[in-house]
Amino acid sequence: MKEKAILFIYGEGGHRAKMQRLFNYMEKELVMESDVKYISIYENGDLLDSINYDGYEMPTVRDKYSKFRTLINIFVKPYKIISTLFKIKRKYDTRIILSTGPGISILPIIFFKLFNTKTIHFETDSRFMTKSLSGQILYYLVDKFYVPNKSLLKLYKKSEFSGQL
Amino acid sequence: MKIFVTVGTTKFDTLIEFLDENLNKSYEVLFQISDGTYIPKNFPYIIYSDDINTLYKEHDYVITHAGAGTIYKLLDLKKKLIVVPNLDRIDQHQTDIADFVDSNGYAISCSDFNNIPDSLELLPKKEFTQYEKHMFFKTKEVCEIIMESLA
Repeated sequence: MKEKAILFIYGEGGHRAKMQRLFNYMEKELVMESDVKYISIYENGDLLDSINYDGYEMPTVRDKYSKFRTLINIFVKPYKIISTLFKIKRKYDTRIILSTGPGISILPIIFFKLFNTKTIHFETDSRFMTKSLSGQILYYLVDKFYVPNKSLLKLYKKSEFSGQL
Repeated sequence: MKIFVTVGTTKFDTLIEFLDENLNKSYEVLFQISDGTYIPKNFPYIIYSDDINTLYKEHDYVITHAGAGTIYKLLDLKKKLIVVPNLDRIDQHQTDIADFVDSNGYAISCSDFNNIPDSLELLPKKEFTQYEKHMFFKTKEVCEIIMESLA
């Protein structure tokens, strides 16, 4: 029987820092059964601190400086991402995904939604009057969409204000 | 005047090069350049720091890219800062938070590098609005959703 798992998905820098704070808050509240595993999909070696869990590093698809390189990556890199998702699927019973974005979250959330995994996304703290690219997509995919700034409630009508992580 | 310049995890060579060439040489400046390819000639630099909070505290003023994590940390520390959105990136998302901090009086935002030297001169006497963070308050709700999904 596969282990139940909570999957954390986060990009580098601020996205990882935000997930770390969420994890620290949750660790104090959650009374977890010993058979539940924490797993993580992350970018560029930027793994969460101080938890013993299974981590899967993903290639970065979106190039910060070049649309051309991003376009190439869209065709070249999904194979590794999708094969990793199947590996996680074979090994774990992933019950819930917590995501702080950015684009790294999109494919895994689409994939695991096919298997009825619960999904929560925490929108980036850097947005006030505009939507992030990943937010525009994830808003329609996830079960719960939290925004850190009240001004975003106008842009994402069904979101919930959560305060800043 | 001790100034720390930070670009976070994403290179911002145009900013580093401009500041290296245009900041007053009497300033004590330290650059954090990430994976940038422009190497400062006039001031010392570091790639990254595991103890960046100490560097924030050791400097009078900070010039930072407009990354949310860095900005909120510096506002928490009540540092006087100049925020520069990284427009070298193809996504221009840093302008959103840069406009937010500037229009609310939490910091000075400079999209045009040419304004940075004058803004630095203003910093010692400039009074800023104190930022009050809306702390995350959904931990219990998120934990309940997690527990339901595991049942």
